[in-house]
Amino acid sequence: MKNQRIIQIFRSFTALLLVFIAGRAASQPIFTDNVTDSVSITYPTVGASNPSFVYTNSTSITIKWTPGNGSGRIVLASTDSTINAWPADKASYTANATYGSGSSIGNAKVLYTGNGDSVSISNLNSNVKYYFWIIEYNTIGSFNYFDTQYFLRTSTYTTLPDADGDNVPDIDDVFPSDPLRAFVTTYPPSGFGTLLFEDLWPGIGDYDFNDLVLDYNYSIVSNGDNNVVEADYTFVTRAIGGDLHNAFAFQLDGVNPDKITNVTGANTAGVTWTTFNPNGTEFDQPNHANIIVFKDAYDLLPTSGGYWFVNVDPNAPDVGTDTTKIHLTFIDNGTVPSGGTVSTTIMDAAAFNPYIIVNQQRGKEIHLANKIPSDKANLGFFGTVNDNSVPGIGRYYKSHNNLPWALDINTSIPYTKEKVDFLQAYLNFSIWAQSNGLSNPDWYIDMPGNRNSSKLIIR
Amino acid sequence: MNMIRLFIFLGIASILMVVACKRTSIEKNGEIQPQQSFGELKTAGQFNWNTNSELTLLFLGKNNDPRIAALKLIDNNGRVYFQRLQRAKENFQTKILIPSHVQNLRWSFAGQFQNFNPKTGRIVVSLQP
Repeated sequence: MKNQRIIQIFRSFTALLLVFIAGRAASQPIFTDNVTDSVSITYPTVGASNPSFVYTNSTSITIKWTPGNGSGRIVLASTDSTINAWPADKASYTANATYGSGSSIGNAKVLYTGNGDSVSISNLNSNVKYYFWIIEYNTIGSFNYFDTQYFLRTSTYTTLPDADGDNVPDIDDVFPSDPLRAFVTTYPPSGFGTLLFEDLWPGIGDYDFNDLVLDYNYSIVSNGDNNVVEADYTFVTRAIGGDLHNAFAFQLDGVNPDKITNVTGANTAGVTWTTFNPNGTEFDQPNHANIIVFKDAYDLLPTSGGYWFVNVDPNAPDVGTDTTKIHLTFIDNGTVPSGGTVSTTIMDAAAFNPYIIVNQQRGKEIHLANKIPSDKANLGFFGTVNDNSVPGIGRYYKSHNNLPWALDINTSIPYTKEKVDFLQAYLNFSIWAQSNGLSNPDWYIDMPGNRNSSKLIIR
Repeated sequence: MNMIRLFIFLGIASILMVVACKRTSIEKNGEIQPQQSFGELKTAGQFNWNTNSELTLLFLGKNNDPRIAALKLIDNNGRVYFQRLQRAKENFQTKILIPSHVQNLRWSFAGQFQNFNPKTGRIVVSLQP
């Protein structure tokens, strides 16, 4: 009886001991295999830290970390932000740094097991966010015991494919196999814009804005550093509604001439009223590059049929148009000019500053309203006759009534017949102007009510 | 003294009448009236006669985002109004001229995109949560 009670007490103690051991195993860190052969397990208590990534290409990256205090660590990866299973103690996993080739643990793939501090992973998808878990473990005997409490979780995007290595993803790279070129930005984004000049500045004229009419567009090629590589300008001379032999030029505001390697395509043969730098920009323009496009519009579009002007009288012969193409090289085959590079943020649409040189009188420039003159402009014209420019406050080429001598339309538009006031042809222009641009901002678009076609030369 | 006051009153009244008449030539019933001659236009001193509108583009990057991609502004027809290579971890700001008649644009970056109205004058492209 007494022995039976002793046996009963021993069995109860054994049962309590098993319950205690099971509880410790669940809460860690001590695990006992059986009652008679207990093993003390210490789980890692310091997780990995300081993750960093090296992006080999769009499908391969290397993860580095500072190890924790486990004897080793397992690295898991998933495109999901959470994992739905954890590595189990004593389980065996196959690691493979080729994503998808190792063991699966729930929705994660095993990339690495070992005692190192990095793994180079391949076979990832480009432009995808991957999540990584680095979990320390201690190896006891032949089993690993994982610290699922102090683990490192990190994530990163893979990059996009870039065949030429210029950092511009192929999907965005207009020149995917040319590391020196990446983007082409065109202004206007399609077609042409139109420049319209009155040429009697500083006096006022007849406001038909057809003394010189040109269409223009330009494309800027830039590289992976967002620097301008080259630029192509196209000018289509359409009409000459005045008898002055005007030259046409443009200034690149904020672009120093020594940042341009070469200029080609200008119609300046025989010009005597200015000189040029070896790179083709105008000489003695220290602050902003100036390009003379042509020296005389009448060289390009001669009069015909006994008419005084060109293409502004519907009864006169159609002389056609002339196209002048200017090419500017900035970075020549990777070689940066002496003045350095030009950022695309400098050479944006606002930097384009077209103007005429009235009757080839070099100091007499007519620019768009509030555009700055070149360094060769004769400032003595400002404030004379009808001009009310005030250089000190940045006010240029405006009359006392704030009227301009030139207009820049962001799309190609028909111009007026000779001696037709611009307002007679563009019916909503005056409302746009007098509302300071708030009303009828699309006055130049060919929509009902915007134009009186009988006042326009439409070809 | 009363005569002086009368002259001052008449002077001010005259000025106001002239101003009112001038305003009437531009506005009628609160609406701007079209003019027949360019030389008659009355515009504000700061008006720059530009058929483009200025748009401020602000890109807010995210730390540790390694992506590098083109930041673009395009319209519904795929015309590109702005583009540059942008690092996702860097901020960037610029001003862009957009034709005044354009009413819808879309920014895109690394597969993300969103439509917006450029007439608001400002667009913020943020990768931050």
